[in-house]
Amino acid sequence: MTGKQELSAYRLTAMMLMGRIFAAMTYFPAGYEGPGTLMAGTLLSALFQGLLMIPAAVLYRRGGREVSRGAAALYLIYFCYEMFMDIGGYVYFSDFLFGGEVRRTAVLGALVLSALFLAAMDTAVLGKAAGTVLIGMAAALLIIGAGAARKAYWVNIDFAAADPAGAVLRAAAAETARCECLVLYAFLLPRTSLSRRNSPGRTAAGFLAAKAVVLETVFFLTAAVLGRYFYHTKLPVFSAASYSGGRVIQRFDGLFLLIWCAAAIVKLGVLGACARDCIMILRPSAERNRAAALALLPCAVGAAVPVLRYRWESVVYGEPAALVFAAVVILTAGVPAAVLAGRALRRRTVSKGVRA
Amino acid sequence: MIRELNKNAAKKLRVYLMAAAVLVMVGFTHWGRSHNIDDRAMVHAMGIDQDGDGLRVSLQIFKPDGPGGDTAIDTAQPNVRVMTCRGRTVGEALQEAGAKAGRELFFGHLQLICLGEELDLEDPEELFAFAVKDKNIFLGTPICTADGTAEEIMRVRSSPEETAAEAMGDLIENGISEGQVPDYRLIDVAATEESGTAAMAMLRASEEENGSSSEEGQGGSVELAGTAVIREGRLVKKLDPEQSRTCVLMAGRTERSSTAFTLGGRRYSARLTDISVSSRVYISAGRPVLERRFSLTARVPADLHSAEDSAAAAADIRDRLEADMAAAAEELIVDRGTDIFGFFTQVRHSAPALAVRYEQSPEKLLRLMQYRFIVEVDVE
Amino acid sequence: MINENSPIGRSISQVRSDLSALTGNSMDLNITEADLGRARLCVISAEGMLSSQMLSEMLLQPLNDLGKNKDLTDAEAFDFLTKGSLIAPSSNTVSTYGELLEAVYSGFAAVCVRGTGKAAAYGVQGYEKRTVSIPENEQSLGAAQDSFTETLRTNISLIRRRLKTPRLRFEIIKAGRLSGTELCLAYISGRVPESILSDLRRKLGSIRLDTVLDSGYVRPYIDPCYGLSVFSGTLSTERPDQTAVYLNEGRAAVLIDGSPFVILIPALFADNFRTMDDSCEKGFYAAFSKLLRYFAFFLAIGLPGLYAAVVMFHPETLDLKLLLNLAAAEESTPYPLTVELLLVMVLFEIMREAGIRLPKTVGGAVSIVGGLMIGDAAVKSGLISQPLLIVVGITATASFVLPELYPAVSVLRIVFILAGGLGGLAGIGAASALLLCDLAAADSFGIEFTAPASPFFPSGLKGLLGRDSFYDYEKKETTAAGYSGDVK
Repeated sequence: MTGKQELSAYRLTAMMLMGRIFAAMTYFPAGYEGPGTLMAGTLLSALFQGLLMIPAAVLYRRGGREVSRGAAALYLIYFCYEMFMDIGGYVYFSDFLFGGEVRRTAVLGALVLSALFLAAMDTAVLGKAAGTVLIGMAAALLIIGAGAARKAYWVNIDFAAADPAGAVLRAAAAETARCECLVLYAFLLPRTSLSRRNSPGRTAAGFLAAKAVVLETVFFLTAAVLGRYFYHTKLPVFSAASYSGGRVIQRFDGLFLLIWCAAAIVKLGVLGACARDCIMILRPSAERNRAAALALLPCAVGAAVPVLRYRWESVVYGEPAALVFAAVVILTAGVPAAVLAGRALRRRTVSKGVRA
Repeated sequence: MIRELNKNAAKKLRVYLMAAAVLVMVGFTHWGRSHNIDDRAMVHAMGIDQDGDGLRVSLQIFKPDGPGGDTAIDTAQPNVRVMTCRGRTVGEALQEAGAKAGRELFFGHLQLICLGEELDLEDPEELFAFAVKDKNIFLGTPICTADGTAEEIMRVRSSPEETAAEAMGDLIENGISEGQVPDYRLIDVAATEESGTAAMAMLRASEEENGSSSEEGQGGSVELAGTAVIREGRLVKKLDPEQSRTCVLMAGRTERSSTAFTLGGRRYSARLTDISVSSRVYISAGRPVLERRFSLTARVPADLHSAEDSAAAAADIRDRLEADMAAAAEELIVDRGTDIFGFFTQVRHSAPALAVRYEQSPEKLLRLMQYRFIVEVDVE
Repeated sequence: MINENSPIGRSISQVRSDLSALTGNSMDLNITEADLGRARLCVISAEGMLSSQMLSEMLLQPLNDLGKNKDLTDAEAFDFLTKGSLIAPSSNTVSTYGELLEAVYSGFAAVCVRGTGKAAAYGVQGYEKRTVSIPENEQSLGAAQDSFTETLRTNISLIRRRLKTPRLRFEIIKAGRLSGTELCLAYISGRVPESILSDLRRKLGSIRLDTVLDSGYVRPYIDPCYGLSVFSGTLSTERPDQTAVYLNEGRAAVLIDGSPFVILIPALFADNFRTMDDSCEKGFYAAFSKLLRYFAFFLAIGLPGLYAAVVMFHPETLDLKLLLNLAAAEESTPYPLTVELLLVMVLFEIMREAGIRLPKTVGGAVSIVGGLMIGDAAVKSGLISQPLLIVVGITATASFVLPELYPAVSVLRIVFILAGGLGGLAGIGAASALLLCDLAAADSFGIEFTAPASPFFPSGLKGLLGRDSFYDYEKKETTAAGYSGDVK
């Protein structure tokens, strides 16, 4: 509150991981064809994502510490889209988690106000909060896993698909499209304090490895525990949590709900803070709180329209995956690569001029 | 200085915003519905019977205001009541029940769902829609069939020590853990929806001699009567307890079981433990073969302590189990097309390409397949 | 017009009339005039502030002896008082009426000599003060049993006795236009970053209040989280040993004359869970106690809210038998569970306040009435249920484990009850997220409030979860400033 906190490699990784695990805890990519292909696709996607993260890492090493206004505009659009999806998704899926006991307007109002509070904070602070939520998520998933382990039947994992290779590729693409964490990496890396020990490459590798481990475990356990129900439920991890239990706490869906809600608010806060930063890059004189409101409120209003009219299902399952995939690739790799190319061109032009 | 003041003002605004967020959340959510616990009627068990074109639903509901309701569950007095209601669907019947009870029905601790023998299970998704869509109902709620009507089972008051639902629930859970009956739960309805088959425990009610009955229920007992095999919504086969144990063992997911064997003209029983199962699917002579290998330990009576007796017992148990399994596979899969052993899931896991080819007609593949059961018995 | 900044008069009669005018002839100001030889002087003191014996032995007797010299002049008398004698260990020369009265009201005796325009003031305090007693609010089993008092110099001596190093510094800063309260900034030179010290000096010097009577008056000026977070960026302690520990760790302490509580800055969140008993016990028990305190914190804040959330929104998570018991217990109560919880918590807070304010002789009656009212009659009449009483009892006991956090815990508890009772576990999750972010955003003089957990310092982990071993203390010099790596 008196000083500006630093965004460290750990905090950046925590924000990215927390966001991705939250998405996995909510629902799996639309159109997944089976647990085996989903798991294989996730691994393949991790390799592909590693390649996507290279330009941003190289740009950081070469002193890239600012996001240009043009890039900020593109990032802003993406972050607003993700906020729109997250707000609507949270309200929509909370119906299944609360069983219709709480009205959607109430859920929406509470979420937006809470996120507004967080969106006005520094990203470093949110990274710290994300780190704690991540630890809570890991603990919750471990507890849920332990409670469901004896019901897991690994024979439920199969690779039965009409076109296994195609299914794996489609799963990989869907997984990449869900990874706004990559865009966070590209956007936040310039303002992160990294060291030789925590270089951009190591940060990216650590993130990908952790993500792969967590997602594979979640997918494996969920599919092994739920069996054919895996294909029939909108919320696989929640279903697995409600199926698992212990002696003291009969069911762990309450635990899931607690950590899911906390993660949703922090994730939305992170996206809001990033969108706010984009606005402040575009308009440096903008006041922080106002910029956060300007970033968040239109997305909330936009999401409110379909979700309060009970039309959200067509939005969430009709997401233009190809477009989102392209957006992720462009914003993660394309923008930093373009900056690097621009710098290289300028250097060549200058050196030609000097020689002449 | 002014910039610092503005910064502080901005920070204070954020604090007020947080307070406002909490208050608004509090205010908004109060417009939702939160239930005091005593506003809920806790349903312990549920029975569903066919009633002409509609359904008859029987519910065992906890009575906190009844005798024994003031502190802990009174072990001397019954504190449940049985309510019966009707409707075209289960949901409709439950709405009637809720209106009768005067409270919101709460299924969070539903111990058991019992289906009447005559119930049409052709569309399990529709039948269990009330349960699958209700986040309160535990996905692991056991589902069983009644040898008779489910209402009879619901009305049994087995003993003063516990509610009937707990007794039946414990009976089934114990039966599952001992390998006597298959483990069929709400979560397995999805698989039934796809395959059209199910195998579930069967309960039978027997009345006390005086045949007394009341709103709280009739005296009597409930016992496991074996396994009911369902295909395309109809009960096609009742397996007696011995057949039931064999089928549960064949499914490969039980850790314990029991069997009988003959030695020297005498019949003994053996407890089977440390059961491990491995399966593989391969093609032999152009025909797909599913081989399931069982490795288990048989605990025989203590008087059979000699090496010869042990070997003879192991051989008899092995032969008997292999023969029973083969017969069960022949009858249930080849003849009736009911895959209650999870064989198609195994094929999907071990030979995905084969499974994909027969995705639309799995029973065709299963009838085509050969089955080999290899049992290795270690006598203790 | 005579005011506090006016120079002291040269004639004794002028001094008397000026002081009478300034003080409105206040009866507690004593002015005794005397002629010693050819010198004329007056002794000025405040009623009840001096020790008569010290005054007589240390000042009056030497003056009387001096007065035997019939040729004594004013200048000689003043030289004797200021340079030629050692009358009292604490003395200074004042030249304005404001300084003179400030010294006199601080328990000094001032001697004004004709013609000098100055007065020599000697510390012969003998006012009534509380003796060093056991700490009321921070009791311990194995640590020292002394605590700070309202007297600044006594408190300084309590710290000095424990830290005999010349690097321990005390700086006096005056605050309060009317009270002239002395604030003392204590620190070990080289341990505290100079930026923190200069910031503190500036903030303490900026206090423009008329009176500064307690540590609570000073806190808003130096606590960076004041008004911005439910938690405080400073610590308050009445224990000299605790103060010495924190000074050694690179914190600064602000002592306030008139307050037995010392403010320690900067403070981390983890500091609220430390006690002196940690150093007195073996490491494993210190760790056990520390973890117990963390657990008590979560119970104190979250148990009622969780109880309300689970019972009202998620009863399926409870064991069936427990749920049936709760249902039967709640059957007879008229109000929703959230209302019951709030009612009982408010009643408890009322009783706690009453217990603090009541005279000790009737304090026991409050316990009896409270116990009867809430414990027995309320349950039997069906106003509240027994399980709820157990929850409230556990919560109340847990909140007393951490007295420093009690204000924050009390408020947060109500927030979590509302969040859980009206929003279920989702409400708890949301409230937790907001609290987490509030905690994450806080920092105390540039050191993040959640250090050493975040930013993570492996060297601080042992202390966070238990206690460093004394061999570790020998090897390293841990300072709070060492946790400021990430903050610019």
